[in-house]
Amino acid sequence: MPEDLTAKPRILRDRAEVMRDELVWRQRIAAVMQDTPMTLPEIAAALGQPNDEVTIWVMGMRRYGLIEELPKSRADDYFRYELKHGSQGELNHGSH
Amino acid sequence: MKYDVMVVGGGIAGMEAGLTLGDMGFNVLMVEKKPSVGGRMILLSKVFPTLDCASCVSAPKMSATGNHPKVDLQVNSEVKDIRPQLDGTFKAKLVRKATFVDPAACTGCAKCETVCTVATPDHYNYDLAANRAIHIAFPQAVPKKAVITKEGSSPCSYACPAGVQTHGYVSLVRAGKYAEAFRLHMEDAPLPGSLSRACYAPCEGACTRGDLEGNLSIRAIKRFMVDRYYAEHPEPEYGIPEALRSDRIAIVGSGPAGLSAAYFLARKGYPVTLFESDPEAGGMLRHGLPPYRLPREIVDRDIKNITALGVEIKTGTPIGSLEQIQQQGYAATFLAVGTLAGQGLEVQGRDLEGVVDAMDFLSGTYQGKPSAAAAGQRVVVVGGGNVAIDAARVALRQGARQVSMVYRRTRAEMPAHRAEIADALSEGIALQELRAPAGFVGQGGKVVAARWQEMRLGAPDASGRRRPEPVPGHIKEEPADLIILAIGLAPSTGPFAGLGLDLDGTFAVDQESLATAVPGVFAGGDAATGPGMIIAAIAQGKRAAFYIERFLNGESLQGVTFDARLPVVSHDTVLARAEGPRSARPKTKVPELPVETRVRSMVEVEQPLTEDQARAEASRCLDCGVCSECHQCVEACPAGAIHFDQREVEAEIEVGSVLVATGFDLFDARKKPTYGFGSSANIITATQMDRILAPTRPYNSVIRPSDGKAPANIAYVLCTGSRDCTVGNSLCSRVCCMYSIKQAQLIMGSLPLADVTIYSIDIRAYGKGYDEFYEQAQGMGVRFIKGRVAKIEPTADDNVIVTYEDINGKVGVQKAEHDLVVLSVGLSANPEAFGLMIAPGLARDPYNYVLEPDEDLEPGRTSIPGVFVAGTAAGVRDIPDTVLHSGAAAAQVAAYLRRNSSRTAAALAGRP
Repeated sequence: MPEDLTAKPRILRDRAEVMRDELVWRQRIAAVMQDTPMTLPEIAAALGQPNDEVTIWVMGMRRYGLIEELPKSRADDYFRYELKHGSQGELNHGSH
Repeated sequence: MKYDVMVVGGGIAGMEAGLTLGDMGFNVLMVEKKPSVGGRMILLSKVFPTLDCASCVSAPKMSATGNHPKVDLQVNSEVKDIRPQLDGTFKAKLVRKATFVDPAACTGCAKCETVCTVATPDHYNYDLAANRAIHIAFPQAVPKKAVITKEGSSPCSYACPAGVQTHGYVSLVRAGKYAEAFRLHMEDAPLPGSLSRACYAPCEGACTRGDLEGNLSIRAIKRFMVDRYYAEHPEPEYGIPEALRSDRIAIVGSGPAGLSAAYFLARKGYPVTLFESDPEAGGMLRHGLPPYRLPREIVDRDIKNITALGVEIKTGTPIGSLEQIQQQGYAATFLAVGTLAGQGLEVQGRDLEGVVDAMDFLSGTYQGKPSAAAAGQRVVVVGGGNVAIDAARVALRQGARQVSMVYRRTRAEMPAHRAEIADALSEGIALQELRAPAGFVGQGGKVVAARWQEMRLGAPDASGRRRPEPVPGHIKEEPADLIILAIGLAPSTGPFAGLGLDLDGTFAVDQESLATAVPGVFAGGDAATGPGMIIAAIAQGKRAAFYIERFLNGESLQGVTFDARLPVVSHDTVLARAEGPRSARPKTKVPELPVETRVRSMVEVEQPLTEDQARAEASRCLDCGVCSECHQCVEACPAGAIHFDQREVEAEIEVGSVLVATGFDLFDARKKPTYGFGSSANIITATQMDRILAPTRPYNSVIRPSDGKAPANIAYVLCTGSRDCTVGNSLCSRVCCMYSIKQAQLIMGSLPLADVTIYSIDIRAYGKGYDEFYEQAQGMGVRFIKGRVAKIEPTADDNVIVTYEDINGKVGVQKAEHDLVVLSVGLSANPEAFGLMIAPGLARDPYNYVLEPDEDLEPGRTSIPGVFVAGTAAGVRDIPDTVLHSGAAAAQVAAYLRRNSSRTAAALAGRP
């Protein structure tokens, strides 16, 4: 097994702290996937945020009906997610 | 309340025993501390070895428990203590926790969850995903009612004298709901614009984040919220309330206290008239605070929020006596005349031209009076408080040739806000410490110099500060053109002295109701408390409004609670919640105008945060109290079920017997650091994996938590925290082998291409169909490696390396890379059972489970007659064994109740 002795795993943040950030990041997540369904690593790359944190945020958005997954074939490693119809209005709610 | 039996715990053991006893005709009280019955079983994906759906098996029992006519289910409740009685029965104290939701009204529609602004780890999904502070426990919950997790008042909210829900508006800003944040603020206090500029923000001092990288810049967040709202709403959104009351109310003084009282009374529909002696309303906001701290257009917009309610402000109308008001037929009066006068100074030359009071200087400046001209002058400000700082900085902005402050103590003792002292000094204002005025020298009636007495610090005085003492013979004279005296503020209470004044000239009022000695006349704000913070004056106005309404309604002013906030959550409690490293999130620096620019004008020094900055700063909030009381759920709930005034309730009950079914604890995988739990998102526990496999999973499919990838190579590590003396648990947990095999089979069904490896010391598959289940897994391709795992480490690319000893295969220490590792955590004793009884306590076995003294022949009996135990509270067992044990315990309870009732009847009849 190849071992890269220089690369080190990232230290995870406190999970509660990550989860609180969902409320801040959800509009930005919606913005990057506005036009096209994306995998979680693609969303993370677009935002410049860690994959595991984006996973928590996207799953939170999915739980509350803002995002849904597309069907995946067995050969695919990742699901693609898209904004749920009508969710944009809810994401933009506020400041009126 | 009397019951035959109290069952403590609503898991599968408690439900089984409770239903059995209910079916026998006994009156059962079931006490469950969580919002739903179901325990841990309902959270499983399937049960072994039948692979029946856990929900399908559990849900009917949960439903039956919730609907059985002989079972009284009390969720969100805890047993505080149980006391044995001489007749073999028990008395117990129950506490029903506040959920802030009326269960009778809640329909379980979950609309509240979608608007909640506080995301918290979902403990029902073992923290894999977030839920909200208001939530329904899980989809099959019985009863299916929302609950709010609220541990108390957040320190920021609790620190606010006016009870502003600081945590609430911060969480709303974090969520991007700026208008809602503004409206929430207006529920608790008016004048948010002024507060966003000039409040000394006790909330910031109380912020728990201050124990980490620095407190939140809450005032800057508020300013962003206010500026955004005012930009979008140049005029208030509301008008005069429809249901007008007939009792007219007079308020004297239009400073923060008067405006606040007017606002809250007008919202209730009272006609309010404010009398203000000055040409414009605002009191200290307009006449004291410099525009570079509080722009006047902000004061104007704040006041519009109050006049929009129909409040009439009569400016230029001084009130000379109480009678002047009373003659006009007002039903109640609130005196909020403030402290706009300066304290007198008895010193030679006080009356010279060019020796002015600071408040006169400040208000004169704002009104363009020539007496306040400092341009080109050598200005000396006497005093060390905030007014002194304001006067010095205003003089500088007028173009003074030089400005210095003279203070009789040192900088360390100055009462002014630290930040303001630093700002003043950074602008070039000199501070002369340990000096006091000894007299002012005039020429032609105008001051030309000041004589300064050198001081030194002596022993501490009543305030705790060291007392300044003159140094004999050390008096110095220095030239000066303008002397500004800022040595304290005096209340403007003279015309109302007949009401009764304290020694310092403030109104003598009842501290709770602010009532004076004259019925219907109330007084508050700085005129009652002495000079204080704006927010404290607003709080006084709010309090006065509350009691004035009670007075007008003919209600008592005594024995009522005005401030019913929950106790504050401690910093230690909040900080102890962290399970991993917190983000290093430095406080956002509030931008300021550069010194060279700001000293030439009255332009606001502090600049606003950008939207991104405001939200980033708000996201530093630790949600100390958990629920922020942002009140979004209140507005969203169609049933009106949410009540933040709900409080916990205690009840005393009598029961014939007690059945303990408090279940087990799971081993905390962090206690085995070599297994790396917490170091990678892809090292999870088997309970988490069960959630991922369950139909009500936190994700959309079986994906790994690090990046959503469908895992292709999954490892199970058995005996994590069991059969392991290094973590203090030598017991076998009995279920880990089988649940791991169950999960392996489910994964192979869900991910046919995945490889599953199970590392174990050995496989214990005893029980009906268990060994066949094990063999079936082997047949499906699950790989079993016999050998203890030594170490688990994450790689930089999110995979995980397992180091293990292979006993049967390659032999020796080996390493393998997986893309997901599942720790099959063991069960451990739940100590909760031992806190239930007041002496004698329940006896425990060597492994800290509830002792059954005669386990073989009398299962379910404990060391205390009348107290029984069911399920895993008495030892590790799987679900079928738990159900059997619960049946046995129920039989024991029934026999005890029958025996005891016969004994009691015999005793009553006088038989032996």
